[in-house]
Amino acid sequence: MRRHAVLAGALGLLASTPALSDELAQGKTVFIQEAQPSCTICHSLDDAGSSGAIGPDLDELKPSYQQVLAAVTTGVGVMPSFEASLTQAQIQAVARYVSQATGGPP
Amino acid sequence: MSQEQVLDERLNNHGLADPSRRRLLVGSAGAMAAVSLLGLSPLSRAEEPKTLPEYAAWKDRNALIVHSANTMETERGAIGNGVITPTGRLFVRNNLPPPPAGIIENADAWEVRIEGVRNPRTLSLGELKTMGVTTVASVLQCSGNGRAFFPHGASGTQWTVGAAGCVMWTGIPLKDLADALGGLAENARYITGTGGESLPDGLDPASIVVERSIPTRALDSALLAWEMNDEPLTRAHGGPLRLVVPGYYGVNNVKYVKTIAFTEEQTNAKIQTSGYRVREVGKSGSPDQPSMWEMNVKSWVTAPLESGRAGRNMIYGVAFGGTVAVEKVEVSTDGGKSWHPARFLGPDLGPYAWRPFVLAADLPAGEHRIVSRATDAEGNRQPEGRTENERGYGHNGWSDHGVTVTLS
Repeated sequence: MRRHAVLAGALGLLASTPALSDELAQGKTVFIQEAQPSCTICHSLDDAGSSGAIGPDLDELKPSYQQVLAAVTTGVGVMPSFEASLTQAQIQAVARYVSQATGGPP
Repeated sequence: MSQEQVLDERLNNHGLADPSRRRLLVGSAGAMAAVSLLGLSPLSRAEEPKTLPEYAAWKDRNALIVHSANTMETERGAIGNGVITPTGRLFVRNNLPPPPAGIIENADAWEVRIEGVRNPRTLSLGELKTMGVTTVASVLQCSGNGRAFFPHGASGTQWTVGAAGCVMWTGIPLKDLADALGGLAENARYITGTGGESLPDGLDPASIVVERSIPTRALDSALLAWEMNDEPLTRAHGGPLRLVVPGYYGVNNVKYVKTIAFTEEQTNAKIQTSGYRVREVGKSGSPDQPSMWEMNVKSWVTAPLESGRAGRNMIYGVAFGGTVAVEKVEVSTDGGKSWHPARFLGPDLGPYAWRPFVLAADLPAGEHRIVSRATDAEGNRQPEGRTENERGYGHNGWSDHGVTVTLS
C-alpha cells in the first residue's frame, strides 16, 4: 500500500484518495497475474518488473488511460481482446495502473 | 521560425486530418513523430529522440523516424532519384522482435523446410545457392503506409509515406525451387511461409507466429532472397533468408523464413485469419474479408516538401503499380484542378520496382498544393480519396498524399 501511495504522490496525483491507491494495486495484480495471457509475457514495464518483448515497451509508449482501456478491451494488432476474460473493473484498474506507472497522460 | 509554425507546416505537408498527431522538433536533426499505437498521440513535451535498436544500429539515423524498437520510418525527404533505396535508409517493420544476432553468423547453414511438393525436403541456404538464382527489384511497402491520413484514428503505427522503399533482391525463384522438388502437390492453392522467430511460452503460437499465405499465382515472381542491394541480407531486413513476393504488401515477405509449404488452405495463424484484412471501420478482421496481398497503384511527391523559391521548380516523387508496371504519372500544383504529365527519371527496373518522376514547373510566390496521380499499365489510376477501413490499410488516394509548399 505504501508503495502505491508513494507512486501516486510522485506523479502529483490526488495521493490521499484510498480508492485510487486500491485501484492501482488492483491494476498491478491484473497486469502481473490475473490477465491471461499475462501482460508481462508481451510487455516491458519497469514497475511490474516485466521485460516482455512481443508488444511495445510500455515505459517507452507511455499510453494514456483511454489508450490502455481501448487496447485491453478491443485488442490491437496482434494483441488480443481481454473483454471476455476480465471484468470492467479489472480493465479499468489495469488501464489506470499502466498509464500511471509509465508516466503516460491520465 | 517558431516551433508552432514548424509544427503547422509539417501538419499541412503531411495532410494529417487529426491535428492532435504532432511531430516534435528536436534540435536540428529533424522532427520526431509522437508514438501512437492507437491513433491518439500523447502530447509529450521535450521527448528525447529514440536511438536505433541494436540490430539496426548501422542504419542512417538522420533518415529515419524511430516509432519504436520494431518500427522505423524513412523520412519523406530521404527518398530521392536514385531508384534503389540505400539499405541504411530503408524502413523497418517487425511483427515480432528479431532473432538474436547469431542468426546470420553462419548464414549458409540456415535451414528451410519445403513442404507440399512431391519431394519435400529441408535444405540449407548453402545448397539453395547452387540450385538457382535471380536478381529482381521490388517495392517493399507496409500495408499501413498512409495510415496516418485516416481521420478515424486507425490503430497501428502512424506511417505517412515512409514505410516504403525500392530494393534489389538476389535469391532463388520459388518456382524453380518447387520444380526441383518435383512440383506442387495436387491440391496446393497457397504458398504459406513461416518466420523463424522463437515464440515465448505462455502464448498460443497461432496468435503471434508470423505465418502468411498468398495465392500460388505469386509463383510468377516470388523468391527466397539472401541478398539485398548487393550485400548479404541483414537481420534487420529478415536475414539470412526471406520470402520475397514482389508486388505484394510487406507482411507477406516473411522474414527469417524457415518453412515454405504449398497448402490447400490459408494458415490459421491470427496474422492471416484476422490480421491484415480490409473491412469497414468498427468491425473486427475475419477470413471472409480481402487480405492485403497485391499492392495498388500509388505515387507521392518527395520534393519540395515545405518551402522554396518562386520561379522554376523541379517537383520530384516516386510511383509504382504493385504487381503491374506503372504507366504514367501526372502532377498538379493547384491541388488537382489541372494536371501535367511528369517524366520518369532513370531506368525501368521492371514492373515491381518504382520509378522516380520529375515535373519542371514555373510557380509564383505563395502557397501551392502539389499532388501526384499515377496510372498503371492496366489502366488503374489512383483515386482522389481514401477507402475508409478499420485499420487504415492500402491508402493510395492522391489528395491525402499531397504536400503544401510555400514559395517566396
